[in-house]
Amino acid sequence: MSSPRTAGLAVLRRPRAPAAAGLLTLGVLAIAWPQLVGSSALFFWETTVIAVLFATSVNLLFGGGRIPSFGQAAFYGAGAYAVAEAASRSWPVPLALLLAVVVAGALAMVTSLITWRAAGLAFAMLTLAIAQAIYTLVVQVSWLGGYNGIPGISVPALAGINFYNPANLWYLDVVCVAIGMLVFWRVMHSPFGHTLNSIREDPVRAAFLGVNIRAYRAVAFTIAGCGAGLAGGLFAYVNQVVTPDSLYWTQSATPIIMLLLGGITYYWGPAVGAVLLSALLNYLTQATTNYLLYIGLLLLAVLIVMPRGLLSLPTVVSDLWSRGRVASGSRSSGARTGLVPVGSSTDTVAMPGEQDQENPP
Amino acid sequence: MSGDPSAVEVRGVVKRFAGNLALDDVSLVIPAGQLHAIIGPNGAGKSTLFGVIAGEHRPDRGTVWVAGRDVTRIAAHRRVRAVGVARAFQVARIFPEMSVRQNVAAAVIAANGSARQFWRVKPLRVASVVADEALERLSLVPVAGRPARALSQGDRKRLEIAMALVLRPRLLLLDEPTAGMSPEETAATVELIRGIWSLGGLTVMLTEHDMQVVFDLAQQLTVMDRGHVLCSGEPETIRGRDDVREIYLGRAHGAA
Repeated sequence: MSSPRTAGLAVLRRPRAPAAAGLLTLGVLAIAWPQLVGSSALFFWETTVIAVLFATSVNLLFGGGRIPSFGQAAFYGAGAYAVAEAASRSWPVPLALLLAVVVAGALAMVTSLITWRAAGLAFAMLTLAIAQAIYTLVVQVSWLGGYNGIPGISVPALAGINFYNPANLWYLDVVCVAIGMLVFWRVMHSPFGHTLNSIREDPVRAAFLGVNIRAYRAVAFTIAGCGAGLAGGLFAYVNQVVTPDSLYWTQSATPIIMLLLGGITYYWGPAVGAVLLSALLNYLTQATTNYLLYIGLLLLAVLIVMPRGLLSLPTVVSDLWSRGRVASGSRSSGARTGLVPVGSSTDTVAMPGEQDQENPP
Repeated sequence: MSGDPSAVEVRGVVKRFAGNLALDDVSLVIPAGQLHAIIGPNGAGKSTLFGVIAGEHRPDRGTVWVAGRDVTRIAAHRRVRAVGVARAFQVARIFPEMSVRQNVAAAVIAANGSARQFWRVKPLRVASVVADEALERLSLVPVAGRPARALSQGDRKRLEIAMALVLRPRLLLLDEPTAGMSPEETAATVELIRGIWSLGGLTVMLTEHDMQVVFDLAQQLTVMDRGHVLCSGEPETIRGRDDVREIYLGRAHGAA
């Protein structure tokens, strides 16, 4: 029986050689990418790695703690507007991005306090409502540019590096996303992440282990908000324009589709989903106006065949394989028999020594 | 021992669920260090009583004292560390997608406070070592790496007890610890509970339908019926009471 690896399921093991090799490959690819794809395609890839970070931050909530937020656009947009404002004042890049993280994180913290007592569907609706309220507010604020947003964002030179060079902007983007991804990896594999996973699995059990589940959910929500803020801030630099679109509810929904495609129980699931969806959207929007139909059909197909997302493909295949072997005569796996609830023997009530009581001493 | 505060004191607790009286003016004192069983037919209020003591339910009236402290208004998760309450459920609550070892590790980090750390990975490795020691005591080592959902009902219950024990409780609440177990598993669980309790410093409360288990284990019994405490006392005294036999034998005949 092969078990799917949930985020944080491998926490108790040390990193192994294949992981190091994989990361090294990613690093080499990131360095060579501007040469490999050419500068005209670079914008697409810059926005794609931003989507990777955003989706991963959202997955701390969905995969990590089963916290269904439909309002992450608020924090993404907050980060984007923070950088737009900072850039118009020529703040240095690290300071502007820090501002994006802090503003988004603070907004997320306030949201988590407002939604403190809510869970499940009520929480989802509240986050959606709060994010849409912020969107409506921002389009009416003149100093944020209303519907037109803030155009003409430029990246000030950093330590003599000029970001008018597209490759340099890509490197800035990739380094910041890598830092963000590292932070989320650590958080998901920390004791905090493990505790968040336990809340996902059974909040009642976690509470009776002494875990303040509302506080953990709020902290996770704040950390995810910081990640969304960094992604939004980077997007402001890459896109050079920030509009209220970055706050609109579709901006909250896109990363959710990404992590469902890739698989919410995997650390790399949202990343895979982000690259796939970005590539598909990029291709399909040029080819057809019905692109949403094809995206919907794809999502449907993936979720029917692989409910745990694309990264569960090896598990799905090996399960099919072992099911075939079971059908050909061998014993069924422990996992399947374990899923059958065993009825408790609470109906039969009998005092011991009933016979004795008929002849009391 | 007379100087110690009682492990549990329930004073005049009333609890209603949608108009139904689950607990009707229940009072109960359990001395520290006792192994105490609550018995009674289905719907007697045993699980509700546990819920009130553990903090799952807040009583409509009355107070709950644990280790000499009024915990009536203390949230469940705070009671775990404030007064050392640990709990196992009638249907074992575990973290199904985590491995058995990780289930216990989650309890370890919750108990030692390292659960708050969101950057250092090391406390989790330490926790897995502590978890292995607990799994050893409950002979769950062979399944330590398996996902908890793959366990048998009996092993799930033992896993839950392992998680409760790493909290280092002073009061352990076991709701039907042998429900759904084979006779062999039941016998092993009785020995396990006796072993844990005999190490000392621990008050154990359990509900149980298997009267053999109750009479094997309990020093004192409390009999509940329809939200009331009918009587408390030593097993031999309880066994001889007509009203207790009425509840069990009378109902059993009625149902048959």
